Amino acid sequence: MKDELKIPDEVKEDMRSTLETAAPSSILQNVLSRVKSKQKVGYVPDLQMPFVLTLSLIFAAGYLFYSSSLNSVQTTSNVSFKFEGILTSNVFWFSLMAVSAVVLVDLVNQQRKAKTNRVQT
Amino acid sequence: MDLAQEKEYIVSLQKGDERALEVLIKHYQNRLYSLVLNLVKNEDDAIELTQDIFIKIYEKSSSFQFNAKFSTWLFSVAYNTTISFLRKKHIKLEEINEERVDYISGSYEMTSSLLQSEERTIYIQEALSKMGEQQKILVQLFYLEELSMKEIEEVTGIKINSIKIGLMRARQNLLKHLSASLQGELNSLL
Repeated sequence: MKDELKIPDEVKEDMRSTLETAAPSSILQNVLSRVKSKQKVGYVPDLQMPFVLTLSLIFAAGYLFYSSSLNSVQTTSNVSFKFEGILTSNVFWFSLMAVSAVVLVDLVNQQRKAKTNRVQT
Repeated sequence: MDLAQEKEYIVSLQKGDERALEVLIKHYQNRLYSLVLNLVKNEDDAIELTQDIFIKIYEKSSSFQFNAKFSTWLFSVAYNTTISFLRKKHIKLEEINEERVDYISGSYEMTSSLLQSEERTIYIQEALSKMGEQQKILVQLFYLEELSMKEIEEVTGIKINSIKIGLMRARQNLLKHLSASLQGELNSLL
């Protein structure tokens, strides 16, 4: 340290007592709990209203289409329900794609939010 | 905590060890919180920011390469996070006046030793309260954290010349306050 900037130790200690403030104990607890919550891995759906509503509508529409198509098949050819029949149904694949799309959009949205939060902090 | 121990904790932190994070928080939280509080001047904001800074340190610990002191890196993250926060709130820090400072030689040590410790503390508090935030941070980093000017430049982005001027001015203000108080005492005795 250059002489022109030197100050006595007792003055330094006075400055320390003025400038340094004890941190509240909540800081440690909150940081540790935030770290723990961030460590949860895997995809957890963001169960907010628009998401739940969209899924419900897709399932309702899918069920209506599927049951009506099943009825028409049964009335015309009297064929009982077969699991293989579902896999050939366009409605089933449409519903699956729609659900996948919503989940994918939600996942991307969550990651975008997390990224924004990280940049802000 | 010595440097070797600190290095061990940092390596553990880089592996995601929460216990290491806890130790490092306990070691640095007062100093970090004080730095942030001196900048934002609001306890709630300072608490929130200090937490965010430690989370950031935890998440980015793997990017610390041991090229600099851990404290320098820590203060750098803290300073930049706080400055970004203040910018978002459109709060501008008082800049360092870069006018030339004349070096006052002499009676600093004598002045401080002549004053009683309680009085000295009061006058130092008074002198520090009149300093701008940037100047206070320089004082804290240079005198209390004992960072070099180069390290302070890394932390704050303030040029070395401005740092030097800021510190000289701070020292001069302290001397002025201590001298004035001593003069007052002498006058009352005469």
